[in-house]
Amino acid sequence: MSYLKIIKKGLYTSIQDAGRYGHALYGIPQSGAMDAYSARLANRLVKNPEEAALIECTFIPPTIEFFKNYIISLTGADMKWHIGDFAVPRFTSLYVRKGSILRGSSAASGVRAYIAIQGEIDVEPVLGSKSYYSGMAIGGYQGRLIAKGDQIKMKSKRSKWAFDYIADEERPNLMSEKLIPITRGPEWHFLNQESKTSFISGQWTISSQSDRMAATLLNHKPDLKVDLKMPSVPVFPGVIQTPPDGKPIVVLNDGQTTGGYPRAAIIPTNSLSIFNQIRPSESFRFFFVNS
Amino acid sequence: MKSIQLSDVNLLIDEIATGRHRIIVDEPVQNRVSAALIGQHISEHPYFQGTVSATSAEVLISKDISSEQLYAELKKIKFKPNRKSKNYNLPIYFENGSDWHDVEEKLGLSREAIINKLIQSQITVASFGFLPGFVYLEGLPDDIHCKRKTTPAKHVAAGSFGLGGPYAGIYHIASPGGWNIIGNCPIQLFDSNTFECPIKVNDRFIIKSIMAEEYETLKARPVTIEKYQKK
Repeated sequence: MSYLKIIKKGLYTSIQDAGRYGHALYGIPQSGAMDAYSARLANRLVKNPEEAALIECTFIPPTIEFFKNYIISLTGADMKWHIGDFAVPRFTSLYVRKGSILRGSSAASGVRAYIAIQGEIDVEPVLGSKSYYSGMAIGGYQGRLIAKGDQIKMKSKRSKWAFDYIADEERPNLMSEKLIPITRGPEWHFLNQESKTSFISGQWTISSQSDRMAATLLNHKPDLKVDLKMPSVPVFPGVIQTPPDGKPIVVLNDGQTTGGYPRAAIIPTNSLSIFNQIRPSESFRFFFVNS
Repeated sequence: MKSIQLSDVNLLIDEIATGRHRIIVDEPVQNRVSAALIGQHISEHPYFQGTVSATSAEVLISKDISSEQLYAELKKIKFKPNRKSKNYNLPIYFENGSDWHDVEEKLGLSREAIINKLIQSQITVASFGFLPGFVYLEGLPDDIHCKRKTTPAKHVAAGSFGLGGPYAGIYHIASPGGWNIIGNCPIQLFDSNTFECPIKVNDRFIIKSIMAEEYETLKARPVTIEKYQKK
Protein backbone atom coordinates (compact mmCIF):
# COMPACT_ATOMS: atom_id res chain seq x y z
CA MET A 1 0.00 0.00 0.00
CA SER A 2 1.27 3.42 -0.96
CA TYR A 3 0.31 6.19 1.38
CA LEU A 4 1.39 9.02 3.64
CA LYS A 5 0.16 9.47 7.18
CA ILE A 6 -0.63 12.74 8.88
CA ILE A 7 1.11 12.93 12.28
CA LYS A 8 0.14 16.56 12.92
CA LYS A 9 -2.48 18.37 10.88
CA GLY A 10 -1.04 21.89 10.82
CA LEU A 11 -3.30 24.95 10.79
CA TYR A 12 -5.46 24.69 7.65
CA THR A 13 -4.06 21.90 5.54
CA SER A 14 -6.05 20.78 2.51
CA ILE A 15 -5.81 19.03 -0.82
CA GLN A 16 -6.07 21.47 -3.72
CA ASP A 17 -5.60 21.25 -7.47
CA ALA A 18 -5.90 23.86 -10.23
CA GLY A 19 -9.58 24.43 -9.38
CA ARG A 20 -13.18 23.51 -9.99
CA TYR A 21 -14.31 25.39 -13.06
CA GLY A 22 -17.59 25.61 -14.88
CA HIS A 23 -20.12 25.89 -12.06
CA ALA A 24 -20.14 29.60 -11.26
CA LEU A 25 -23.67 29.97 -12.64
CA TYR A 26 -24.98 28.08 -9.59
CA GLY A 27 -22.56 29.80 -7.27
CA ILE A 28 -19.89 27.14 -6.93
CA PRO A 29 -16.49 28.82 -6.53
CA GLN A 30 -13.39 27.74 -8.41
CA SER A 31 -11.35 26.86 -5.28
CA GLY A 32 -7.88 25.46 -6.07
CA ALA A 33 -4.40 26.39 -4.85
CA MET A 34 -4.29 29.98 -3.55
CA ASP A 35 -0.74 30.42 -4.85
CA ALA A 36 -1.30 28.73 -8.19
CA TYR A 37 2.19 29.66 -9.37
CA SER A 38 3.95 27.86 -6.51
CA ALA A 39 1.59 24.89 -6.93
CA ARG A 40 2.54 24.59 -10.61
CA LEU A 41 6.26 24.77 -9.73
CA ALA A 42 5.81 22.04 -7.10
CA ASN A 43 4.10 19.74 -9.59
CA ARG A 44 6.67 20.47 -12.26
CA LEU A 45 9.47 19.41 -9.88
CA VAL A 46 7.96 15.96 -9.32
CA LYS A 47 6.99 15.51 -12.99
CA ASN A 48 3.26 15.64 -12.25
CA PRO A 49 0.83 17.46 -14.54
CA GLU A 50 0.88 21.15 -13.51
CA GLU A 51 -2.78 21.04 -12.49
CA ALA A 52 -2.40 17.93 -10.28
CA ALA A 53 -3.69 17.84 -6.71
CA LEU A 54 -1.19 18.56 -3.94
CA ILE A 55 -1.18 19.58 -0.29
CA GLU A 56 -1.69 23.23 0.62
CA CYS A 57 -0.39 24.29 4.05
CA THR A 58 -1.35 27.54 5.79
CA PHE A 59 1.05 29.23 8.31
CA ILE A 60 1.62 26.08 10.37
CA PRO A 61 2.61 23.02 8.35
CA PRO A 62 1.55 19.43 8.95
CA THR A 63 3.93 16.64 9.98
CA ILE A 64 3.82 13.78 7.49
CA GLU A 65 5.20 10.26 7.60
CA PHE A 66 5.90 8.53 4.29
CA PHE A 67 5.12 4.83 4.00
CA LYS A 68 6.99 4.29 0.77
CA ASN A 69 9.88 5.95 -1.06
CA TYR A 70 8.56 9.09 -2.70
CA ILE A 71 9.73 11.96 -4.82
CA ILE A 72 8.35 15.16 -3.36
CA SER A 73 8.83 18.91 -3.64
CA LEU A 74 8.19 21.89 -1.37
CA THR A 75 7.33 25.36 -2.69
CA GLY A 76 5.61 28.56 -1.54
CA ALA A 77 6.02 29.87 2.00
CA ASP A 78 9.23 29.12 3.91
CA MET A 79 8.20 26.56 6.52
CA LYS A 80 11.80 25.64 7.53
CA TRP A 81 11.19 22.12 6.32
CA HIS A 82 13.06 19.13 7.75
CA ILE A 83 13.10 15.50 6.76
CA GLY A 84 14.18 13.65 9.85
CA ASP A 85 16.91 15.83 11.38
CA PHE A 86 17.99 17.39 8.12
CA ALA A 87 16.91 20.76 6.86
CA VAL A 88 15.70 20.42 3.26
CA PRO A 89 15.46 23.14 0.63
CA ARG A 90 12.37 24.37 -1.13
CA PHE A 91 12.12 24.52 -4.93
CA THR A 92 14.02 21.31 -5.61
CA SER A 93 12.90 17.74 -6.07
CA LEU A 94 13.55 15.59 -2.99
CA TYR A 95 13.84 11.85 -2.62
CA VAL A 96 12.27 10.70 0.64
CA ARG A 97 12.72 7.18 1.95
CA LYS A 98 10.05 4.99 3.42
CA GLY A 99 9.67 5.79 7.10
CA SER A 100 10.88 9.39 6.72
CA ILE A 101 9.05 12.17 8.51
CA LEU A 102 8.56 15.62 6.98
CA ARG A 103 7.99 18.47 9.40
CA GLY A 104 8.37 22.19 9.47
CA SER A 105 7.72 25.22 11.62
CA SER A 106 5.40 28.19 11.20
CA ALA A 107 5.98 30.16 8.00
CA ALA A 108 9.06 32.40 8.17
CA SER A 109 7.93 34.19 5.02
CA GLY A 110 4.72 33.95 3.04
CA VAL A 111 1.54 32.22 4.16
CA ARG A 112 0.94 29.12 2.05
CA ALA A 113 3.29 26.25 1.26
CA TYR A 114 2.80 23.37 -1.16
CA ILE A 115 3.83 19.74 -0.88
CA ALA A 116 3.71 17.86 -4.17
CA ILE A 117 4.20 14.10 -4.27
CA GLN A 118 5.02 12.27 -7.49
CA GLY A 119 1.98 10.28 -8.59
CA GLU A 120 -1.68 10.97 -8.00
CA ILE A 121 -3.38 11.71 -4.68
CA ASP A 122 -6.12 9.07 -4.55
CA VAL A 123 -9.21 11.07 -3.53
CA GLU A 124 -12.52 11.38 -5.39
CA PRO A 125 -12.86 14.43 -7.61
CA VAL A 126 -16.14 16.30 -7.08
CA LEU A 127 -17.42 18.21 -10.11
CA GLY A 128 -14.14 17.61 -11.85
CA SER A 129 -11.82 18.74 -9.08
CA LYS A 130 -10.09 17.33 -6.00
CA SER A 131 -9.92 20.78 -4.39
CA TYR A 132 -11.36 20.96 -0.90
CA TYR A 133 -14.10 23.57 -0.55
CA SER A 134 -15.32 24.15 3.00
CA GLY A 135 -18.60 25.82 2.00
CA MET A 136 -20.09 22.60 0.68
CA ALA A 137 -17.71 20.20 2.44
CA ILE A 138 -16.64 18.75 -0.91
CA GLY A 139 -13.34 17.68 -2.45
CA GLY A 140 -10.12 17.27 -0.50
CA TYR A 141 -9.76 14.36 1.90
CA GLN A 142 -13.32 13.03 2.41
CA GLY A 143 -14.80 16.50 2.01
CA ARG A 144 -12.80 18.03 4.83
CA LEU A 145 -9.45 19.44 5.88
CA ILE A 146 -6.58 17.06 6.48
CA ALA A 147 -6.57 15.79 10.08
CA LYS A 148 -4.26 13.86 12.38
CA GLY A 149 -4.17 10.16 11.55
CA ASP A 150 -5.38 10.55 7.95
CA GLN A 151 -3.81 8.12 5.52
CA ILE A 152 -3.53 9.78 2.13
CA LYS A 153 -3.27 7.10 -0.52
CA MET A 154 -1.18 7.61 -3.62
CA LYS A 155 -1.66 6.11 -7.05
CA SER A 156 1.89 6.05 -8.29
CA LYS A 157 3.69 4.42 -11.11
CA ARG A 158 7.31 3.45 -10.62
CA SER A 159 9.03 6.61 -9.48
CA LYS A 160 11.19 8.44 -11.94
CA TRP A 161 13.94 10.13 -10.01
CA ALA A 162 15.64 12.97 -11.77
CA PHE A 163 16.95 15.87 -9.76
CA ASP A 164 15.31 19.11 -10.72
CA TYR A 165 15.21 22.60 -9.25
CA ILE A 166 13.64 25.97 -9.90
CA ALA A 167 16.11 28.68 -10.86
CA ASP A 168 16.32 31.68 -8.49
CA GLU A 169 14.74 34.08 -10.94
CA GLU A 170 11.71 31.81 -11.32
CA ARG A 171 11.08 31.51 -7.60
CA PRO A 172 8.52 33.89 -6.15
CA ASN A 173 10.16 36.51 -3.94
CA LEU A 174 8.11 36.60 -0.76
CA MET A 175 10.40 39.00 1.12
CA SER A 176 10.48 42.04 -1.12
CA GLU A 177 8.30 45.11 -0.78
CA LYS A 178 4.82 44.21 -1.91
CA LEU A 179 3.35 46.04 -4.88
CA ILE A 180 0.13 44.54 -6.15
CA PRO A 181 -0.98 45.39 -9.70
CA ILE A 182 -4.64 46.27 -10.23
CA THR A 183 -6.84 47.36 -13.09
CA ARG A 184 -9.83 49.67 -12.78
CA GLY A 185 -13.00 47.79 -11.94
CA PRO A 186 -16.35 48.58 -13.59
CA GLU A 187 -17.43 50.62 -10.52
CA TRP A 188 -14.15 52.44 -9.83
CA HIS A 189 -16.04 55.71 -10.34
CA PHE A 190 -18.22 54.87 -7.30
CA LEU A 191 -15.31 56.04 -5.15
CA ASN A 192 -15.06 59.74 -4.49
CA GLN A 193 -11.79 61.52 -5.35
CA GLU A 194 -10.42 61.31 -1.84
CA SER A 195 -11.13 57.59 -1.66
CA LYS A 196 -9.52 56.99 -5.07
CA THR A 197 -6.39 58.72 -3.85
CA SER A 198 -6.29 56.80 -0.61
CA PHE A 199 -6.89 53.54 -2.50
CA ILE A 200 -3.82 54.10 -4.65
CA SER A 201 -1.45 55.99 -2.36
CA GLY A 202 -2.39 54.16 0.84
CA GLN A 203 -0.47 51.44 2.65
CA TRP A 204 -2.77 48.46 2.99
CA THR A 205 -2.71 45.42 5.22
CA ILE A 206 -4.76 42.24 5.10
CA SER A 207 -7.03 41.61 8.09
CA SER A 208 -6.18 38.49 10.10
CA GLN A 209 -9.84 37.50 9.64
CA SER A 210 -9.11 36.77 5.97
CA ASP A 211 -9.39 33.24 4.61
CA ARG A 212 -9.69 31.29 1.35
CA MET A 213 -13.00 33.05 0.57
CA ALA A 214 -11.90 36.64 0.86
CA ALA A 215 -9.30 39.04 2.19
CA THR A 216 -10.47 42.15 3.99
CA LEU A 217 -8.17 45.12 3.46
CA LEU A 218 -7.29 47.68 6.11
CA ASN A 219 -5.83 51.13 5.60
CA HIS A 220 -4.54 53.54 8.25
CA LYS A 221 -6.30 56.37 6.40
CA PRO A 222 -10.02 57.09 6.94
CA ASP A 223 -12.24 54.46 5.37
CA LEU A 224 -13.22 54.70 1.72
CA LYS A 225 -16.43 56.55 0.87
CA VAL A 226 -18.55 54.68 -1.63
CA ASP A 227 -21.93 55.07 -3.22
CA LEU A 228 -23.70 51.78 -2.60
CA LYS A 229 -26.76 51.83 -4.84
CA MET A 230 -26.11 49.03 -7.26
CA PRO A 231 -27.55 45.65 -8.20
CA SER A 232 -25.82 42.32 -7.58
CA VAL A 233 -23.25 41.60 -10.29
CA PRO A 234 -20.90 38.71 -11.09
CA VAL A 235 -17.54 38.63 -9.29
CA PHE A 236 -14.51 36.32 -9.46
CA PRO A 237 -11.19 35.83 -7.66
CA GLY A 238 -9.24 39.07 -7.76
CA VAL A 239 -12.23 41.42 -7.77
CA ILE A 240 -11.89 44.08 -5.06
CA GLN A 241 -15.32 44.99 -3.71
CA THR A 242 -15.84 48.16 -1.72
CA PRO A 243 -18.68 47.81 0.83
CA PRO A 244 -20.00 50.90 2.64
CA ASP A 245 -17.99 50.18 5.81
CA GLY A 246 -15.00 51.39 3.76
CA LYS A 247 -12.99 48.18 4.10
CA PRO A 248 -12.38 46.63 0.67
CA ILE A 249 -12.90 42.89 0.25
CA VAL A 250 -10.83 40.92 -2.26
CA VAL A 251 -12.78 37.92 -3.60
CA LEU A 252 -10.54 34.84 -3.47
CA ASN A 253 -10.62 31.21 -4.63
CA ASP A 254 -13.43 29.96 -2.37
CA GLY A 255 -15.28 33.26 -2.67
CA GLN A 256 -18.73 34.15 -3.84
CA THR A 257 -19.59 34.32 -7.54
CA THR A 258 -21.83 37.40 -7.34
CA GLY A 259 -21.87 40.40 -5.06
CA GLY A 260 -23.75 43.59 -4.37
CA TYR A 261 -20.83 45.89 -3.65
CA PRO A 262 -19.03 48.10 -6.18
CA ARG A 263 -16.17 46.35 -7.98
CA ALA A 264 -13.69 49.17 -7.56
CA ALA A 265 -10.64 47.33 -8.88
CA ILE A 266 -9.40 43.94 -10.05
CA ILE A 267 -6.15 42.12 -9.24
CA PRO A 268 -5.13 40.23 -12.42
CA THR A 269 -5.36 36.43 -12.02
CA ASN A 270 -1.62 35.90 -12.41
CA SER A 271 -0.89 38.36 -9.57
CA LEU A 272 -3.13 36.60 -7.05
CA SER A 273 -0.33 34.15 -6.26
CA ILE A 274 1.80 37.00 -4.83
CA PHE A 275 -1.21 38.58 -3.12
CA ASN A 276 -2.18 35.31 -1.41
CA GLN A 277 1.27 35.07 0.20
CA ILE A 278 1.00 38.46 1.96
CA ARG A 279 0.91 38.08 5.74
CA PRO A 280 -1.47 40.07 7.94
CA SER A 281 1.51 41.93 9.48
CA GLU A 282 2.91 43.06 6.11
CA SER A 283 1.81 46.19 4.32
CA PHE A 284 1.51 46.63 0.58
CA ARG A 285 0.48 49.14 -2.05
CA PHE A 286 -1.54 48.93 -5.22
CA PHE A 287 -0.49 50.26 -8.60
CA PHE A 288 -2.44 50.50 -11.84
CA VAL A 289 -1.56 48.40 -14.87
CA ASN A 290 -3.34 48.24 -18.20
CA SER A 291 -5.60 45.24 -18.54
CA MET B 1 -17.79 49.03 -24.30
CA LYS B 2 -19.10 47.61 -27.57
CA SER B 3 -22.63 46.88 -28.59
CA ILE B 4 -24.14 43.81 -30.28
CA GLN B 5 -27.68 43.27 -31.53
CA LEU B 6 -29.08 39.78 -31.01
CA SER B 7 -32.63 39.06 -32.10
CA ASP B 8 -34.37 42.11 -30.61
CA VAL B 9 -32.00 42.40 -27.64
CA ASN B 10 -29.15 44.87 -27.58
CA LEU B 11 -26.13 43.74 -25.55
CA LEU B 12 -23.22 45.86 -24.37
CA ILE B 13 -19.98 43.96 -23.93
CA ASP B 14 -16.60 44.77 -22.42
CA GLU B 15 -13.63 42.78 -21.21
CA ILE B 16 -13.14 43.81 -17.57
CA ALA B 17 -10.11 41.56 -17.00
CA THR B 18 -8.18 39.15 -19.20
CA GLY B 19 -10.64 36.50 -20.33
CA ARG B 20 -13.51 38.03 -18.31
CA HIS B 21 -16.20 39.54 -20.51
CA ARG B 22 -19.20 41.23 -18.98
CA ILE B 23 -22.46 41.67 -20.83
CA ILE B 24 -25.13 44.22 -19.98
CA VAL B 25 -28.58 44.18 -21.54
CA ASP B 26 -29.21 47.61 -23.01
CA GLU B 27 -32.99 47.53 -23.00
CA PRO B 28 -35.81 49.71 -21.69
CA VAL B 29 -36.87 48.47 -18.22
CA GLN B 30 -40.44 47.73 -19.36
CA ASN B 31 -39.18 45.04 -21.73
CA ARG B 32 -37.94 43.05 -18.73
CA VAL B 33 -35.26 41.05 -20.49
CA SER B 34 -32.96 40.31 -17.59
CA ALA B 35 -29.29 39.57 -17.98
CA ALA B 36 -29.82 36.37 -15.96
CA LEU B 37 -32.20 35.08 -18.62
CA ILE B 38 -29.73 35.98 -21.36
CA GLY B 39 -27.03 34.28 -19.29
CA GLN B 40 -29.10 31.11 -18.95
CA HIS B 41 -29.58 30.99 -22.74
CA ILE B 42 -25.87 31.54 -23.35
CA SER B 43 -24.88 28.86 -20.80
CA GLU B 44 -27.02 26.28 -22.62
CA HIS B 45 -25.03 26.83 -25.82
CA PRO B 46 -22.28 24.14 -25.94
CA TYR B 47 -19.52 26.62 -26.79
CA PHE B 48 -20.24 28.60 -23.62
CA GLN B 49 -21.04 25.69 -21.31
CA GLY B 50 -19.49 26.25 -17.88
CA THR B 51 -18.24 29.74 -18.70
CA VAL B 52 -21.26 31.79 -17.62
CA SER B 53 -22.30 33.41 -14.38
CA ALA B 54 -25.11 35.94 -14.26
CA THR B 55 -27.27 38.21 -12.14
CA SER B 56 -30.32 40.23 -13.17
CA ALA B 57 -28.02 43.06 -14.11
CA GLU B 58 -25.04 41.41 -15.76
CA VAL B 59 -23.68 38.31 -17.46
CA LEU B 60 -20.05 37.31 -17.06
CA ILE B 61 -18.37 35.06 -19.60
CA SER B 62 -15.09 33.63 -18.30
CA LYS B 63 -13.32 32.37 -21.38
CA ASP B 64 -9.94 33.16 -22.83
CA ILE B 65 -11.19 34.51 -26.14
CA SER B 66 -11.01 37.88 -27.83
CA SER B 67 -14.00 40.22 -27.93
CA GLU B 68 -14.24 39.53 -31.67
CA GLN B 69 -14.46 35.79 -31.11
CA LEU B 70 -17.05 36.37 -28.41
CA TYR B 71 -19.25 38.42 -30.79
CA ALA B 72 -18.95 35.81 -33.51
CA GLU B 73 -20.06 33.01 -31.16
CA LEU B 74 -22.83 35.02 -29.52
CA LYS B 75 -24.29 35.79 -32.94
CA LYS B 76 -24.90 32.09 -33.49
CA ILE B 77 -27.25 31.89 -30.49
CA LYS B 78 -30.99 32.13 -31.02
CA PHE B 79 -32.48 33.97 -28.06
CA LYS B 80 -35.91 32.97 -26.89
CA PRO B 81 -36.68 35.48 -24.15
CA ASN B 82 -40.23 34.16 -23.66
CA ARG B 83 -39.38 30.75 -22.25
CA LYS B 84 -42.32 29.11 -20.47
CA SER B 85 -42.04 29.57 -16.72
CA LYS B 86 -43.22 27.16 -14.04
CA ASN B 87 -45.09 27.92 -10.80
CA TYR B 88 -43.95 26.65 -7.42
CA ASN B 89 -45.09 26.97 -3.82
CA LEU B 90 -42.24 28.03 -1.56
CA PRO B 91 -42.59 27.24 2.15
CA ILE B 92 -41.00 29.75 4.53
CA TYR B 93 -40.94 29.59 8.33
CA PHE B 94 -40.88 33.19 9.53
CA GLU B 95 -40.51 32.61 13.30
CA ASN B 96 -36.74 32.14 13.47
CA GLY B 97 -35.50 35.12 11.44
CA SER B 98 -32.60 36.63 13.35
CA ASP B 99 -32.92 40.11 11.85
CA TRP B 100 -36.64 40.84 12.26
CA HIS B 101 -35.97 43.65 14.69
CA ASP B 102 -33.63 45.49 12.27
CA VAL B 103 -35.91 44.84 9.31
CA GLU B 104 -39.00 46.24 11.07
CA GLU B 105 -36.96 49.29 12.03
CA LYS B 106 -35.40 49.79 8.57
CA LEU B 107 -38.74 49.42 6.75
CA GLY B 108 -40.96 51.06 9.38
CA LEU B 109 -43.39 48.16 9.03
CA SER B 110 -44.51 45.44 11.40
CA ARG B 111 -43.47 41.83 10.95
CA GLU B 112 -47.07 40.85 10.10
CA ALA B 113 -47.31 43.56 7.45
CA ILE B 114 -44.02 42.48 5.85
CA ILE B 115 -45.04 38.79 5.77
CA ASN B 116 -48.40 39.74 4.26
CA LYS B 117 -46.72 41.70 1.52
CA LEU B 118 -44.41 38.78 0.79
CA ILE B 119 -47.16 36.17 0.51
CA GLN B 120 -49.21 38.43 -1.71
CA SER B 121 -46.32 39.17 -4.07
CA GLN B 122 -45.69 37.54 -7.43
CA ILE B 123 -42.13 36.37 -6.72
CA THR B 124 -39.97 35.26 -9.65
CA VAL B 125 -36.54 33.65 -9.84
CA ALA B 126 -34.19 36.46 -10.78
CA SER B 127 -30.88 34.60 -10.87
CA PHE B 128 -28.54 32.24 -9.06
CA GLY B 129 -25.06 32.41 -7.70
CA PHE B 130 -23.28 34.36 -4.97
CA LEU B 131 -22.89 31.06 -3.09
CA PRO B 132 -23.63 27.45 -4.06
CA GLY B 133 -27.37 27.11 -4.49
CA PHE B 134 -28.15 30.71 -3.61
CA VAL B 135 -31.32 31.93 -5.34
CA TYR B 136 -32.19 35.58 -5.94
CA LEU B 137 -35.94 36.29 -5.99
CA GLU B 138 -37.51 39.45 -7.34
CA GLY B 139 -40.96 40.99 -7.46
CA LEU B 140 -41.02 42.46 -3.95
CA PRO B 141 -43.06 45.64 -3.55
CA ASP B 142 -40.87 48.76 -3.17
CA ASP B 143 -41.75 49.31 0.49
CA ILE B 144 -40.11 46.05 1.58
CA HIS B 145 -36.84 46.63 -0.28
CA CYS B 146 -34.41 46.41 2.61
CA LYS B 147 -30.80 47.62 2.49
CA ARG B 148 -28.14 44.97 3.02
CA LYS B 149 -26.11 45.08 6.23
CA THR B 150 -23.14 47.41 6.13
CA THR B 151 -20.96 44.66 7.64
CA PRO B 152 -21.88 41.09 6.67
CA ALA B 153 -22.84 38.68 9.49
CA LYS B 154 -20.20 36.02 10.20
CA HIS B 155 -22.70 33.17 10.12
CA VAL B 156 -25.96 32.71 8.25
CA ALA B 157 -27.63 29.30 8.63
CA ALA B 158 -28.43 27.01 5.68
CA GLY B 159 -31.95 27.62 4.35
CA SER B 160 -32.03 31.22 5.59
CA PHE B 161 -34.50 33.46 3.79
CA GLY B 162 -33.42 37.07 3.67
CA LEU B 163 -34.02 40.49 2.17
CA GLY B 164 -31.25 42.30 0.29
CA GLY B 165 -32.07 45.46 -1.65
CA PRO B 166 -34.80 44.74 -4.20
CA TYR B 167 -34.38 40.97 -3.74
CA ALA B 168 -35.30 38.18 -1.42
CA GLY B 169 -32.83 35.33 -1.32
CA ILE B 170 -32.32 31.83 0.00
CA TYR B 171 -29.01 30.56 1.37
CA HIS B 172 -28.58 26.89 0.37
CA ILE B 173 -25.50 26.50 2.58
CA ALA B 174 -24.37 28.11 5.82
CA SER B 175 -21.99 31.02 5.19
CA PRO B 176 -21.21 34.60 6.09
CA GLY B 177 -23.74 36.97 4.55
CA GLY B 178 -24.99 40.53 4.35
CA TRP B 179 -28.72 39.94 3.89
CA ASN B 180 -31.38 40.60 6.53
CA ILE B 181 -32.58 37.16 7.65
CA ILE B 182 -36.33 36.92 8.35
CA GLY B 183 -37.04 33.21 7.97
CA ASN B 184 -35.98 29.79 6.78
CA CYS B 185 -36.87 27.69 3.76
CA PRO B 186 -36.74 24.00 4.78
CA ILE B 187 -36.87 22.39 1.31
CA GLN B 188 -34.10 21.69 -1.22
CA LEU B 189 -33.99 23.94 -4.27
CA PHE B 190 -30.64 22.61 -5.31
CA ASP B 191 -29.50 18.99 -5.30
CA SER B 192 -26.54 18.61 -2.95
CA ASN B 193 -25.28 15.51 -4.76
CA THR B 194 -25.70 16.32 -8.44
CA PHE B 195 -25.68 20.12 -7.98
CA GLU B 196 -28.52 20.35 -10.46
CA CYS B 197 -31.28 22.85 -10.08
CA PRO B 198 -34.81 22.19 -11.39
CA ILE B 199 -35.83 25.84 -11.18
CA LYS B 200 -34.99 28.31 -13.92
CA VAL B 201 -34.82 32.06 -14.27
CA ASN B 202 -38.34 33.58 -14.46
CA ASP B 203 -40.06 30.63 -12.73
CA ARG B 204 -42.70 31.90 -10.29
CA PHE B 205 -42.93 31.34 -6.53
CA ILE B 206 -45.88 31.74 -4.18
CA ILE B 207 -44.55 32.09 -0.63
CA LYS B 208 -46.38 29.96 1.96
CA SER B 209 -45.94 30.97 5.58
CA ILE B 210 -45.62 27.63 7.40
CA MET B 211 -46.08 26.73 11.07
CA ALA B 212 -43.46 25.30 13.43
CA GLU B 213 -44.72 21.74 13.06
CA GLU B 214 -44.42 21.64 9.26
CA TYR B 215 -41.08 23.41 9.45
CA GLU B 216 -39.63 20.88 11.91
CA THR B 217 -40.91 17.98 9.79
CA LEU B 218 -39.41 19.36 6.59
CA LYS B 219 -36.17 20.36 8.28
CA ALA B 220 -35.76 16.82 9.63
CA ARG B 221 -36.46 15.26 6.22
CA PRO B 222 -35.93 17.86 3.50
CA VAL B 223 -37.73 17.23 0.21
CA THR B 224 -36.97 18.66 -3.21
CA ILE B 225 -39.05 21.57 -4.43
CA GLU B 226 -40.66 19.29 -7.04
CA LYS B 227 -41.73 16.74 -4.40
CA TYR B 228 -43.06 19.53 -2.17
CA GLN B 229 -45.47 20.65 -4.92
CA LYS B 230 -47.13 17.22 -4.95
CA LYS B 231 -48.00 17.42 -1.26
